Amino acid sequence: MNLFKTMFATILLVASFTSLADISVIINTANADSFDNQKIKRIYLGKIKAFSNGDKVNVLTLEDSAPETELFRQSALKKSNSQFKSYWSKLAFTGKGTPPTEVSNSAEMINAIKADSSSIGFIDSSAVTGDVKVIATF
Amino acid sequence: MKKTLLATGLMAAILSSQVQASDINFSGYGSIRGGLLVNDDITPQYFGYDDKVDFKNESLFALQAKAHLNDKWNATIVLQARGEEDFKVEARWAYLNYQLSPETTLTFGRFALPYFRNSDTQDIGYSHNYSRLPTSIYLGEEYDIIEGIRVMHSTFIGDGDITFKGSYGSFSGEVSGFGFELDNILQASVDYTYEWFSVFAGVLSADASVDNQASFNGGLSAALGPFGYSVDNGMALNPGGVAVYDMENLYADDDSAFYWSTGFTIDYENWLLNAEYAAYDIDDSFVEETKVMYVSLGYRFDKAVVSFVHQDYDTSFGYEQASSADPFINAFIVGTTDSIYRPDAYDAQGIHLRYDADEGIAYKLEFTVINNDLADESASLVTFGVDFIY
Repeated sequence: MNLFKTMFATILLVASFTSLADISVIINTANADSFDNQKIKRIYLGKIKAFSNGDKVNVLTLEDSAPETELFRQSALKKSNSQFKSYWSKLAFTGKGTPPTEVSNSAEMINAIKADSSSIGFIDSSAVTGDVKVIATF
Repeated sequence: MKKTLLATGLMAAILSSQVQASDINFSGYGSIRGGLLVNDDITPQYFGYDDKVDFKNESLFALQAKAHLNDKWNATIVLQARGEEDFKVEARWAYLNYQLSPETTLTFGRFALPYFRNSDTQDIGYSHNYSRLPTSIYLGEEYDIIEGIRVMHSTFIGDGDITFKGSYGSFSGEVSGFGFELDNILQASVDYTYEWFSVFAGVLSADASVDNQASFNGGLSAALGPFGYSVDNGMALNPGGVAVYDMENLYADDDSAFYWSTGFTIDYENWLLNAEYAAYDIDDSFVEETKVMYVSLGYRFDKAVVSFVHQDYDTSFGYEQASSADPFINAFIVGTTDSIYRPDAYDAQGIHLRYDADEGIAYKLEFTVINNDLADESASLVTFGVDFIY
């Protein structure tokens, strides 16, 4: 019985932990553009290349191996890492677009977004600071 | 020579001191694939394989160097080495891109012409779930790459998006040992995508010339010469010396080539359904209308995709060029047409497996049965390989 209780508690804990770990999509605080989930998806799939004010979007991503990357692609873009890479290989090698630029961790992502008013990125929500603006969570 | 100059110029532009090394982005793709025909009671090759394991036929490596010159312009070169051509390095793509607006891009230089929906990505094995895109449509011809201009425009319609592509250019080279030229190539296509569904339609026209007149003249003289027929100044003469056929009807000499194609893709709840159909012809020439299609049904598991592919390659055999009043001439033309096109017709059914083993690495496995219509025989092809991007 005790064992059952422990297992149940563990499962609950794991389940709640998983649901808490979400992803925040972030932009520069000076960026006043409006966003919805579809716009974010279009930006990451290279279908929107500029913000409403005409500035070219600088799209950033964490590394493929980062758990945040996989979670973001799966929930925001409905694509696994390999589907995402297959999709982009069609554009990148035919002159139709440039895949998102990789940065190596959340701190670098925040710095890059802070330094460039036309950039967009994503990090684990727990890493968000006042230096960036959150436009969506997944 | 033209393409070498273009490639050298672009390479120079990319590597010029004006561009900082950090602005040049290197990436690439490739495939290592082996395969063989497992039933050895047949002699011909299918898809470039015979009954001995071959790793050269479909293996390739490509390196892309892309330089951002400024916000509007970038220069790109793709160097590709194919096993089929002894890994001789070729500037497959070499172009300048100009971003006219966020929605419109102009491309100048050397690029893959979208004859069909995926023509420009057919070399990138990683981009699709098959061992190779169905060969009924994606033959991998020399003239897939042209020099010219391409314009691309994308826009949104409700929840979907639509992309227009137009190209103008020319090709000059060799196909099957004969000089081949395509001039005034005009291509236009439209692609609409809505979440899980997309549909495509495209047309292409060009003036085509094939430098094989001598082989038709020689063929006619060899077949009908003993009966007193001859070819003189582009006219076929009967034994009485009367002109009975204008050989221009057989030659492809600045004649109009026309392609059209359509297709759709469904990617819904892990089910994948793709189909494409295309037809093409060169009017007033020996070329018969070719009609090709494939349909594929797949299912995506966690890291694997299994696809079943049916494809068909056929020719119309309308024999419109057999228009002489002389039955012997017509018999020669019908015979020649048959000898060119009859052996090509086939259909094939295959199972393809893609397994995403690691970031940028996909293993592929294939079993395909190819049924040749004329020989009335089947070949079983097995291939295995790795497709990668970096």
